[in-house]
Amino acid sequence: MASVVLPLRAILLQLLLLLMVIGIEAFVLQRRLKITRRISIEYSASINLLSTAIGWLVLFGVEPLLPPALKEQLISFVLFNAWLPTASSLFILVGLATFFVTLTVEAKGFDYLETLATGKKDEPSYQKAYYRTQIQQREVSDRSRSRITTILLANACSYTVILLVLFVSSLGLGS
Amino acid sequence: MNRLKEIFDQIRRLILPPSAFSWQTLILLSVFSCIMSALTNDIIRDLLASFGWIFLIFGVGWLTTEKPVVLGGLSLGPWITGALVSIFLFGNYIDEEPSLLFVSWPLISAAIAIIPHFVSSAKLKNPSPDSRQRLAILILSNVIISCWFQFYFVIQGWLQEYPGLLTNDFNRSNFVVRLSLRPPRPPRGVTILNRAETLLREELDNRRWPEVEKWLLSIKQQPEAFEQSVMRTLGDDFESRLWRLETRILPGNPDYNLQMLATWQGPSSDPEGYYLVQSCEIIQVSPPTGTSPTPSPTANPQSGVLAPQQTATSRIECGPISQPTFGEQPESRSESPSVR
Repeated sequence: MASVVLPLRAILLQLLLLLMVIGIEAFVLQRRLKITRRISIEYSASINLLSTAIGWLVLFGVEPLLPPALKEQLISFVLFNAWLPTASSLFILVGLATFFVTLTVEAKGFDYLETLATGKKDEPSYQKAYYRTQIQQREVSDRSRSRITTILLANACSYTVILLVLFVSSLGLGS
Repeated sequence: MNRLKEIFDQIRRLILPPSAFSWQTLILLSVFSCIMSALTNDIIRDLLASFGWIFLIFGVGWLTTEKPVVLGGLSLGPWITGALVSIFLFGNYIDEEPSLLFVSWPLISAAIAIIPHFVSSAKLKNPSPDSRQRLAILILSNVIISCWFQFYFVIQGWLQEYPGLLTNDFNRSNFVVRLSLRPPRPPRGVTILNRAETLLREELDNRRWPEVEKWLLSIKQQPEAFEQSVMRTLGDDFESRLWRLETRILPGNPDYNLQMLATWQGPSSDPEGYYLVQSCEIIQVSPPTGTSPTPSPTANPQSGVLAPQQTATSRIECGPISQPTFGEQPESRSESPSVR
């Protein structure tokens, strides 16, 4: 190639966003789940790195399969920050799908990480819960419900901040 | 003199192995294998070279464990060793598939970095629960770095598949940065215009004027035919689909001016794409008898004797191909060229 095109901006952008998101989610986790700062940062970091990695893998899996028209839209978006209005709805769809998929990945990943970290399986398996008392059952389901809510809240906060940052940066770069 | 002796002593202490079981032994074995491999050939050489690499890898791995190079609380050893392993495994493929080497490097380094946590005194063990999170973070970070490398190669693939993209300006991108070392290769449009010029010369150079005008009329009525005959010579790949060739005929008197525009209609920094223009003059050459040339073939010879085979002929002169211009193409100067 006569000239070299490097995805440096993407790397910087991703580092910035990751740091922000990890910080925000760690903060929310720490406040709501009453865990120490170090653990919340570690959780938040591993979960967000996991969803980012999955996102990249999805991109690399989908990109070769795209029909030429969509591929040109993708190239136009990545290289020139320009896309047809018809592609906007696709972007919105992808954004929403990303949100919900990362939510699911984070919820499942959270459980898995806890197992990994503490070395024992977590309680809410319904067979065990059957033998518990009513109060303990309610505690268990409350706990898992509050955890899902926390994850939802953490993701909502971090995505809001991401959108704000992207919006402000697009204003700054001009139309 | 003393200074030199000191330096020699230091180097000797560094290189010579203090015991048979140390990293210096491995590095020396590696150098030995490399030298031996240079002296032989074929299979033995490859074998010795591989041994050389393996010794080097283990030697460096050991060295970085004993004398770690630390950057910000993290030993860089696994990445150095990982780089050596990647080069050893994939270095031969760097021309066909360079992505293998770069994408595998962080993954191999992560694998090397986590080995000490899984093996303790030659036995497999599970890593302690505290460190599991950190191992996960380490592995995932390296996966993401691999993804960054792969992204670079995906973009390279795009640029090779659609070379017309390179003429564009990448400043508005949120993702990439362009470091230009040399001016970019001329886009496909230049090839298209060159082929078009060749085709034009075949058809129109040194022909009788009436044929020329008939040909120009057919172009005016069916512009796609010319475009297709040019495009057909290019072969069918993704990028050719995105180039369009437009031919405009501007009447002069009595010559014609043919303007050809090759337009890139793929992704571009300008919504209208960019185009290259080449102008060709079709000049009427008067017949050698020196009588005044009549532009109209149907005009009966009035003054002077014009033998039927001495009608005017044509000559083509083509100008240079322009630099790529962004934005909307210029309007034609006249709507309908009239062919008299």
